[in-house]
Amino acid sequence: MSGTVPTYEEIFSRNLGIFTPEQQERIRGLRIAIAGCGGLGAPVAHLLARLGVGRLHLADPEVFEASNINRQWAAYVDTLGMNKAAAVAAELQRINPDMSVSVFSDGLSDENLAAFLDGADACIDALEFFELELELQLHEAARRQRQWVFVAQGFLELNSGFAIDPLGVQFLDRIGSVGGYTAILRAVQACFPVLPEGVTVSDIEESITKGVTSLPSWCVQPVLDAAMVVSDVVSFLVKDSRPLATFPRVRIQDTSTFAVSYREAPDPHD
Amino acid sequence: MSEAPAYEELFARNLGIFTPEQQERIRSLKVAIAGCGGLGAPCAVLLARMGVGELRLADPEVFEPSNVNRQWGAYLDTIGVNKAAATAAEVARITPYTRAVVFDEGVTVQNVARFLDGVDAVIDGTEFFAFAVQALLHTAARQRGLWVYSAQGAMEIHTLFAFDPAGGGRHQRLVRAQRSCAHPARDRGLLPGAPRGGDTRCARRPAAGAFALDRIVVAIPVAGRRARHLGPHRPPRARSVACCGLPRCHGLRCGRASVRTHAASPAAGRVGDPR
Repeated sequence: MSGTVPTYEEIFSRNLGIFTPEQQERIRGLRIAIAGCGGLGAPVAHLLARLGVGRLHLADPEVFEASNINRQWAAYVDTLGMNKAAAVAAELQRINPDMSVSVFSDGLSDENLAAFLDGADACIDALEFFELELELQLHEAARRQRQWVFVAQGFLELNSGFAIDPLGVQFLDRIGSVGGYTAILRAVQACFPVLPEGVTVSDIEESITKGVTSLPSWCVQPVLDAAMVVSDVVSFLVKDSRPLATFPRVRIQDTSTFAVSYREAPDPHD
Repeated sequence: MSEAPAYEELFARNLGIFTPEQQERIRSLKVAIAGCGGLGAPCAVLLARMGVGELRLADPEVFEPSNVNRQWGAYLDTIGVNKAAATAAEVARITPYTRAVVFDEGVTVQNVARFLDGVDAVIDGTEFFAFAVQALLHTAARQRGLWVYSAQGAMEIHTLFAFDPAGGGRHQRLVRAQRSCAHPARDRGLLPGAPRGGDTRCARRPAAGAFALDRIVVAIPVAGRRARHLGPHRPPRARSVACCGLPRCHGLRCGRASVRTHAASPAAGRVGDPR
């Protein structure tokens, strides 16, 4: 083990060629807010740290449980029982010594949404499906601050992702209402214009009615999704490229074949 | 936490993606991973999070600061630590149910049997230019009937491929594909820091394929030639070949004979053709 901590330039020297030195400096100056540190949020934070991003805001009120180990980065036997955002922050310090991480271990609420988004270059929405009300509050707060939100969701073998332009079509526009059963169903349909193989709308209706909140999931899927989100958000912020899909356009990846396709979220007013 | 949760508890959410029987099979899997850097370490972590029974991790290198930007076992506190050992420590933090066996000398002639015997699959995460190790690993895997999975990345392009141990014909096709592309040296523009002008993104895809295939060219003919020498149908000596004179060389060992010379010889024609 070496005695001295390596410099930022040493750690991230191999990024050069993928990014110019100026782009790497922009990456270093980025501040990204990640809502949710579970299946998707934790690997997103991990990859952003390995890219050299300077500041992260992490929010998650949950603690790591045994059943998280099969897929969530920073879920280890020795972090079980720890707050997810705090555990992720502790691992990130092992990657980039210059990184500053703000932890919101009480999760997000009306009171802290503004502080969570304050100064962020972009927000990554890695919340669970069933926190739709909170999700819409987050989107609204980001829209008011003219911030882009990058959303990603997994559903069995499918990954879905899109960026929400603060001046463009909002997630709420394709859901119609904030609360209730219909809103959740429309949110699922907006994220997944294509459903996983063998799943029908009535299956989803049944799951919502029964209150099923945990679906099967494994480690490969969030890693693929996180890699896409991170590549997308960083290219957008430092290379000024367009996001892969801007809502209502949705990127769908079938993780059993790795194929990616693009669809339009259905409009409930049609 | 002092006591680790049960296997079933840790991997409960896999069910639905895998059946309980499949999860039991995953639990019994043994996978050999050669190289614990950019590809090998994430593979080890993901296989541990899937719940496999045993990982054999080989890497002779230690983590350096410049590895931290992409290699999953590389942290500020594992700089200077052997890559296989650090990856094994990461696996141990994830689950006590995955046995991680460390080969910190890398894959060598001495340990390749111990590294591969009894495994279900091999992941080749060795460095791009470690051709000698790749030849050793692929040949030994092929002798044991094992599939070898590998992937390479060059700038924004990734290639992923699996080698079928019984796939001689496929390998030959791949070798031909490599020959039909320009030599990899032409594609130095793929490497970081080199000028990238002119070439379009699409045009680089076959070039990246050529990069990947370059290693197959090194690895597979070794196995192929051995098979031809050891197989029941030894190619008879072609009279016209100017060879090194070694017994049963037929120009194959010394490299003086081209494949065309052998195919053109009437005696060689009889080997695979009963007519």
